[in-house]
Amino acid sequence: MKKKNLAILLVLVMLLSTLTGCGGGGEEETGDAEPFKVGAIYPLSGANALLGTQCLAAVKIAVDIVNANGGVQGRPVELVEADAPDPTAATTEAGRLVDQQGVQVIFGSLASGNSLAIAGVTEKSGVTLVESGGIADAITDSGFKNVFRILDKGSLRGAAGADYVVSALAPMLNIDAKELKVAIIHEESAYGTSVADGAVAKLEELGVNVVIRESYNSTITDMSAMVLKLQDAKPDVLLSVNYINDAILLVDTLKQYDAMPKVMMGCGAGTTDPNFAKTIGADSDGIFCTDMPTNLPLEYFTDEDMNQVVSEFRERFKTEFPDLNNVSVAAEAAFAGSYTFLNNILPNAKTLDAAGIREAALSTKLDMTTLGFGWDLGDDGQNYAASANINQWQGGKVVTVAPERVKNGDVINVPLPIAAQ
Amino acid sequence: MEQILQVFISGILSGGIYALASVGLALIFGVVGLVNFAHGEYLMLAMYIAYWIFNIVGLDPYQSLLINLVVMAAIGYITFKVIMERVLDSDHSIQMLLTLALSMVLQNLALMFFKADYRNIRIDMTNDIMNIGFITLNTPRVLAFIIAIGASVLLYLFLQKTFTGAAMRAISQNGKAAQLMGINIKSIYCLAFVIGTTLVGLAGLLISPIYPAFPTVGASFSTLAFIVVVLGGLSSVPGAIIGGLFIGVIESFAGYFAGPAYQQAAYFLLFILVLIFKPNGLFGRS
Amino acid sequence: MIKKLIVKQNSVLWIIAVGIIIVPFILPNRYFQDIAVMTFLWAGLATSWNLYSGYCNRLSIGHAAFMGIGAYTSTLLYLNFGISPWIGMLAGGALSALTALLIGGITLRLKGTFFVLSTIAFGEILKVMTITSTEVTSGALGLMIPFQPGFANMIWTGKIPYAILAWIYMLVALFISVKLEKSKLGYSLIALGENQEAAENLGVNSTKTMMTAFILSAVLTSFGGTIFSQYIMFIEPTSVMGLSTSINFILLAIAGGLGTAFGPMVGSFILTPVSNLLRGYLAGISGLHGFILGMILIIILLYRPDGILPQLKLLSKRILQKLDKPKKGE
Repeated sequence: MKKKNLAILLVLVMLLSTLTGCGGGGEEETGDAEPFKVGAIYPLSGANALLGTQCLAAVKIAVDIVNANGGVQGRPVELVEADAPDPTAATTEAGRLVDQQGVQVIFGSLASGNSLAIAGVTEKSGVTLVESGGIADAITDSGFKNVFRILDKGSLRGAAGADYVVSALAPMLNIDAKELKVAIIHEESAYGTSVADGAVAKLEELGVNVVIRESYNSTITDMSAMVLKLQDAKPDVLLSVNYINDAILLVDTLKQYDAMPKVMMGCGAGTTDPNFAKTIGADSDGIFCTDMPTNLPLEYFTDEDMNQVVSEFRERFKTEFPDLNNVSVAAEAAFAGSYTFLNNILPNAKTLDAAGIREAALSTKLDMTTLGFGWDLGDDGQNYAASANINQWQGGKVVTVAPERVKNGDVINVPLPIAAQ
Repeated sequence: MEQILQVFISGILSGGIYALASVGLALIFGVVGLVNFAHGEYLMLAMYIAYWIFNIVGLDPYQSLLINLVVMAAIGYITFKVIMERVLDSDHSIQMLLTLALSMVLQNLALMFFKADYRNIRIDMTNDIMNIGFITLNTPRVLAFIIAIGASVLLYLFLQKTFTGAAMRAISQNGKAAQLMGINIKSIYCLAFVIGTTLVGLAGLLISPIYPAFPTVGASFSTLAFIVVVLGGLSSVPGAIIGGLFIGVIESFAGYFAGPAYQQAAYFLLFILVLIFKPNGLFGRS
Repeated sequence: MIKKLIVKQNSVLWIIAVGIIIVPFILPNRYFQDIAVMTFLWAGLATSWNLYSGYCNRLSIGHAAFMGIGAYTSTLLYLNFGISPWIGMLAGGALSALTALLIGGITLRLKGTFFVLSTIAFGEILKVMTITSTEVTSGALGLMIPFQPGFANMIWTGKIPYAILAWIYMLVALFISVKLEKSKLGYSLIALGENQEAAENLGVNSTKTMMTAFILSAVLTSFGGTIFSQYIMFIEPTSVMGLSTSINFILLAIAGGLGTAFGPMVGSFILTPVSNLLRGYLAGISGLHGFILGMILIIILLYRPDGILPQLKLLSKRILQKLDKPKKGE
């Protein structure tokens, strides 16, 4: 009896490992030409699974669109997906994509820590990493040869938000920059820290007074103490870097204690998320969100093909995530990164290896990508055409108020109607 | 001064929820002798139940309270019968790892079926406040506090005043002797486990209007509940109530004076200090 | 004679432990070699954890802190002062020993569950300290080790040297475990785990015994941390020092066989590849791999609570008996 149970157990374990081992190894029929394999590594389980799942869906749509148009250099693109809830798993999974599946390009990776871990693997193997989610400066500051980032650096984003607060909003509040009191609240992971560091550096440079800087863990369930501390500092402007849950909790708590400063400037992820305005409703009116350009009106894309691609992406994304009334900015970035790379960069590569791809990535200059800015990489692989837009929630929609060339609305509600008296 | 009182009160309000999330754990530990690492996952399940009832039927968490508790009791019963009952006599380390594995299974089941999305329950009351003097109180947090403390006190009275409660206390003090006195020990274990999971479910339901449900939401509450229960002396229900309030207040003061980054570290530090001076917890029997 | 050797002397297990190093050489590519490195490393870490927690049956759920101390000490010394990680590894070990002395002084006298939970608290405090001391550790941003291959840097291009290093680490941990089992310290430790009062009455110095084993376990875990950081080349507090890392030690050890020298190794040999392969090939449905891994554990625990190793021993015994019978008939 006992032996039987053990046998069952062993068989089960062995079966599972062989079964899964075979399941993934099978090659799919993809036409005459040899498929061009690309990988996508995102956190699909664990704490960051939500945005990771959206990003993966976006990359899948990009691959489909490119394949419908004939693939890359006549070869169909085959996507291999991987789940990396943490950097250790990211290393192993990057190894699987590179060494087992033989991918030449990896799209990723949302969390900055994962990105650095993946880069450690891809650099050694001559594989390209296209980063469209990780924002920590180190990703393109570490001397990697084959890591390209389509979106802006964290420090630059923080600086952009801080700069706008001082140059545009302080005059609207009739407060001299030297008198302006800014509070900074950020979640404590690499993402929040790098953006906040950039904001602080910019504010110091401008001689603005940072009255309080606090970090918190994004799983926080009660922000009362932090908000009361904030209230004591009496800031004019709150600059915050949050994920979605904590962004909502922050606004709720600020409202409950009547502690909302005159301006709230969110920098990325949480405050730009479609669920932010959907959940907090009319109170979102006038809250700023500095982020990559997001949900730009279709008219913005004057190139007809690109216009069509963007609208196709948005529609397909909405059918897959019917609960979202807008495409999240993380997914837009993942789409832009993968689509631009497959559609615009790889066709220019003389050889589809690391050197050829690097040459093409650096030499190709684009005025416009589906993310609303161009493609112009520096030697470090950073896209210096990427810039953060200053957006504001108006009537449940994201309206871009700066910079001038992409602006599609005027600033409202400065100071915020829900600001403390 | 006003602000400090406000910080104190907001800590007490959070503490009420921590207390409720922890009494169940204390009860299960005291009576069944089981360290349940999947405790927080029951909180997560209750939040999802509240969300789906709200989303599909339109009943808010307070209206669906009874249904939710019945479902949570059923889930607790099934867990006990299918899994826990088999390891009652096993080593502590086996039991702990089993509950760890269970929490892994439940979290990933939620991820598979409910996806990673944050499920918010937004009711009119979510941002309501009451003002008492200069003190501001968030209505759902006050309601949560009152119900939480009410439920904890009811549990205490149940243990003190009823025959079944007395049996539970007897088992908690001396399992073998209780068995000799003719108490059906397995059904008492089962009842304690079911009450424990129902209570942590109630805690989940009470925070659902102010905090979203997602697959890993239980994890942070699990660790917290453990700290509370150890502070309170492991198996003591009143100890867990006071421990919960205590942690809430410490967390709040640490957040206010040192900053939110130190909130967790503060109660862990306090926890260690208590263990240095009172190795059996604040209210433990030595 | 052979039977005796196999069942009693662990020689088959030694042969497996030593011979397993062939595996990375015959594996087809670096992905599988990576899994082999991880398997050896986790086997070594779980064996180190088992030295204290397994033998005296008091689970430390904060052990990732020691792994973190090892990883951070060697990395910071390497990045800031160019000190070789080989020396950094020893420095990390020394720091871990000191930390273990301090933590042990407070927690080791605590009873059962109080001890278990106090280790969580210590682990979390050290993690928060690492996150908040941004000036030294660069906090949540983590530390990246530049790729400069060389023996002195403990960095190599291929996976094989790492596999050998992790394998040696595992063998050292195993060797110490086996030695411990046969030493007075080991006997005392096991006795304490079974019944502390009785052991103390028989003259076991519980404080000294537990402290020695705790420090030994912490130092070995810390060595593993250094190897880990030199292999992944990127460390951050949440993934290195988090609760889930500590839980993984326990998981491997209990699944293999708690408090046996070879149990954690067997646990890692089975569970590390299975969990990595599951994650690798079941990425299509989020959560499926975690669910299956959890179910496997539940099944092991419900039906084979003393772990896989004792079952394997039993099985081999039975097979040997069967092999013996026909011989007698002849």
